[in-house]
Amino acid sequence: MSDLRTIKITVLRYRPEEEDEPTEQTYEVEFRDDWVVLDALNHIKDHIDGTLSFRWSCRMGVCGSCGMMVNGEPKLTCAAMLRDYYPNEVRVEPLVNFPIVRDLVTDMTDFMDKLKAVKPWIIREEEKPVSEGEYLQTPDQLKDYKQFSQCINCMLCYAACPVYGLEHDFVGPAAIALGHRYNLDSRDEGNQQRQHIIASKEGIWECTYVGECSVVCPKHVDPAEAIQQTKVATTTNRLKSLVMPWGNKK
Amino acid sequence: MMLDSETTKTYTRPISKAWWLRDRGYFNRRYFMFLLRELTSVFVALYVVLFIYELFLLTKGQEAHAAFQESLRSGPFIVFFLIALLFALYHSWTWLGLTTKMQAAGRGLVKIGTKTLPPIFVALGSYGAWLVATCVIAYLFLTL
Ligand code: SF4
Ligand code: FES
Repeated sequence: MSDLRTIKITVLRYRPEEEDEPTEQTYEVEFRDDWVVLDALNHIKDHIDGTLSFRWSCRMGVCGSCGMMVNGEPKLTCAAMLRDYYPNEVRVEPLVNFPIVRDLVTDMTDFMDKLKAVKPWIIREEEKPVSEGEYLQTPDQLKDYKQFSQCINCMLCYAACPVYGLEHDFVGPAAIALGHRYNLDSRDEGNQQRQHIIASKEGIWECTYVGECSVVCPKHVDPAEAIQQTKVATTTNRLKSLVMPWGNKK
Repeated sequence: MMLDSETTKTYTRPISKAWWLRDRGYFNRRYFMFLLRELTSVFVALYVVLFIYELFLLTKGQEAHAAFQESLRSGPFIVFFLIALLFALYHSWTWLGLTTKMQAAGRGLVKIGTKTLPPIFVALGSYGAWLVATCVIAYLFLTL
């Protein structure tokens, strides 16, 4: 077909049973104008080299599993058009700041642990009986946290964050943003339970505001904003409880 | 994927100390600008040290102070003051720009009734307050 072009794709490979360090492999891929980087990887796997490993699922920017470094930037490979890189070559690497398991597959255990630690679900001091109906919320109350609820756990923000790269204890952008999302939810009463993680030294105070997490986030969650808002809110709450120790601290 | 770290041989690519110049093979302008902002504090601190030294000289008498002030008019000091000024401006400008971050999401920190004040007003307010404070301090310095 006339609309086919050929692009060079260099992939970082790591086969733990064969090598101690990652190596590189370059493939030449004929691509159509509407192909994304993930299409090229699937083409390589199906037609050129079946040993290449990578993660993906939805192909539509929803599942968050296809995050990789594309020419040094954390990207959802199902949303990165090859034509935007052509005629230059494309370099695909696993997300940085995470241990590589094989080729483009990383170990996300650390992120999953941190996500669990901020308790990203609605916490009630006491559940009301089902017979009393659902917890209602106004559109304005929904607006308060909606942006932060768009996170698809793709971990691009962790790959973009040099603080996380240098300090692995840092709770990190997405986990804090998701904790913040529930703290902002009018139905939630779990602020206190999340605070010792979110407002700790490893939480918001580790962030020096590089801001790159928000630049790379494909869902415009803006985790940097969640962190800065939490810094201000935590500080004002502390001041308030100093000045008015009898005040109602929720 | 959850792993048994005992049995799986993973590889972690190290991040270099110079990540703001080159992070695993790539230069990121925003990393560089971030580090530049952090560096500004060095120049501001040096300026403060000079300033405190100058105050200290005041206790040593008019002459010592005047001699020091004269030496500050030399080329190297002027270059230093210019750099310190540029850095201080860059830091203040970017730092105050961040105030918009308090506002952008649904629940901004500055509200009028139930409505969040648009971020641009918060930024303009911060820059305005900065300008006024600078003018007041400059006025006090030049007239007193
Ligand atoms: S905050 Fe954005 S970049 Fe980070 S995991 Fe969620 S969707 Fe991905
Ligand atoms: S494959 Fe699901 S987000 Fe890319």
